[in-house]
Amino acid sequence: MMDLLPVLLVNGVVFGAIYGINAIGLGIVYNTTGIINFAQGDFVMLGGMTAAYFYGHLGLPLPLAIAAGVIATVFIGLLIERAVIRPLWRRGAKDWTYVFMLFAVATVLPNLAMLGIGRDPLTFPSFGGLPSVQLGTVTLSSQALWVLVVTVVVVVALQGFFDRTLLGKAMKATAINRRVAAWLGIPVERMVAMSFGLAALLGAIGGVVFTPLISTQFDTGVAMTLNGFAAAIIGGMGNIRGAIVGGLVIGVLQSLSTAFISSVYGDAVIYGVLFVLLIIWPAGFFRPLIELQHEEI
Amino acid sequence: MNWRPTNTAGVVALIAIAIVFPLFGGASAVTVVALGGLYAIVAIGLNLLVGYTGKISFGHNAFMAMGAYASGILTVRYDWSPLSAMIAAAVSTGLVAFIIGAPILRVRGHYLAMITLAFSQVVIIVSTRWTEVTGGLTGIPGVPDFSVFGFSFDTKLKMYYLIWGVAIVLFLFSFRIVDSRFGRALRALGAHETAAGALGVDVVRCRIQIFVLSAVYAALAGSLYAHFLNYVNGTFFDLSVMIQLMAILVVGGIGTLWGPVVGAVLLIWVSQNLGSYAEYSQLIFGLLYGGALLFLPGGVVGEVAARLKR
Repeated sequence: MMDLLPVLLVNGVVFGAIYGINAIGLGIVYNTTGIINFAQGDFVMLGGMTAAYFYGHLGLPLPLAIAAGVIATVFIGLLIERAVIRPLWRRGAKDWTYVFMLFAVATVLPNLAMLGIGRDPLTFPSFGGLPSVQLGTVTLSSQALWVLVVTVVVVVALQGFFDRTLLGKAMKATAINRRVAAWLGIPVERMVAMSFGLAALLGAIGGVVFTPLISTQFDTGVAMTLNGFAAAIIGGMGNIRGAIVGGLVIGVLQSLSTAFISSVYGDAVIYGVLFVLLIIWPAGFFRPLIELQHEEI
Repeated sequence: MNWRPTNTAGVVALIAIAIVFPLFGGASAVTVVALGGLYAIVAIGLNLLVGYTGKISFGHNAFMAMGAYASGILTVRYDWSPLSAMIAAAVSTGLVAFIIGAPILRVRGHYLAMITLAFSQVVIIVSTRWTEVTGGLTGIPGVPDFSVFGFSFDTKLKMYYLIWGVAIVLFLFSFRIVDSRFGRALRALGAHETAAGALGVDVVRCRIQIFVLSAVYAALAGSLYAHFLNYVNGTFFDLSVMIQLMAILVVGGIGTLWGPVVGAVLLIWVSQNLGSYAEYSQLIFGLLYGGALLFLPGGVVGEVAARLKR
């Protein structure tokens, strides 16, 4: 069994990167709105499913299908904000209303995907273009390398976005104090929409790079949301680098527990870890990007 | 939010309707309304949790499953009497809820929702795969009829009366809670957490108590479910049950005492009459309660109450 260890570690890191990207998405929405987005994992599912649909059913060339899948998912993310979050926001609804609403979204999206695209797990070919890398005894496949490269690009791009662009800074300001941000002329509603769009974008990117590794099915969203949440708890909500570290921890733990403890109860181990983490460090192991000053909605 | 038990007439009417309904409804209608009663029991507990503490649990399907499995396993394999098995089911589920709730409910925000979602996923995985104990996908057949002091609830009609009897008792008990010292503390909690804390309400303790109580309600419903169908299976309690419970709460009206009862009967009736659309039931329930959140914030009961006041 022990000679499997390097393979398991590498697999864990690759999957963990996706959980990390997902955790960043959760953190962005949480920071601007105080809402935990229960539909985050469904953005991953939608990214993979729509790209596979555009490639397999409509016969688009792979790069085009992938781009179309990401765009479609971002569009859905923005639509969700516009159609169901903003009305609640304007009404000043109680905070649990958002949780109910996003749970409804997380119910409707997979069912629509199942009806519109299909029940079966879908996949599409590896992106290609990158070599596979030999790391000692382990071969890192080309697609696994894609996952890691994309993760690094996402992290660097987001850091740049939040630190250097006006829009990014405005989003950060909204996260720190919504009311003051509004006084300063920042259109808070648009920032909320942006955060959902960005979360959908991150989810979709995670979905399209990860799908060629195995496949994506309509019901993978719940597990993706929970794994992303576990990563975000470890990394500190909204802490970008922390989220990646959290994702890697969860990915490796999952990979090891599936191999060494039980293939059936691999997920159960992660949820157990999540529970223990919440007890020990409710605010996360790393510092959150922003200590929320405002009432959580 | 009117929580005061001013409507004695309503309660009397509910009891009367529950008693005479089987005289008019056919056998299948009785089964459907009995199922509605089971869901009403869970929804009454969840409504207390959400309405008072503003916290959400996505794990009450799992608490139902635990109640059902505890009853099923204890009566079938260990020959316990149904009543003692039911009590054991309620106590053990309450204990599990305490273990989950005690640490998590100290934390602000909606971590309870996430952790209970994870918990229910684990329970579903375990219940369908731990074959030695839960019977795996085959489940536990041959759960005996519920009986107490030698009286056996051996027909669906008798079970109907038992279920609605329990539902009404728990319903009245929630009235009592609302008007007790504990209830006032909870009401203060729902209105403004910080202020309630400042006035000496032990916020965390109240939350934990109500969470455990709502889990016990779910376990009782699960236990009755096992005796009602004489069968337990993990797939009875998957995520779609939680979706139905959410829909019941929202469509019935969160924060209204009558909402869970009205919502349960209404939506279980809908779910049993979907016919060839059964495949779309999750989608339908998701759209239904998403739509209700947007367009009917007080639910059916809240809306009717508002109309009557005008």
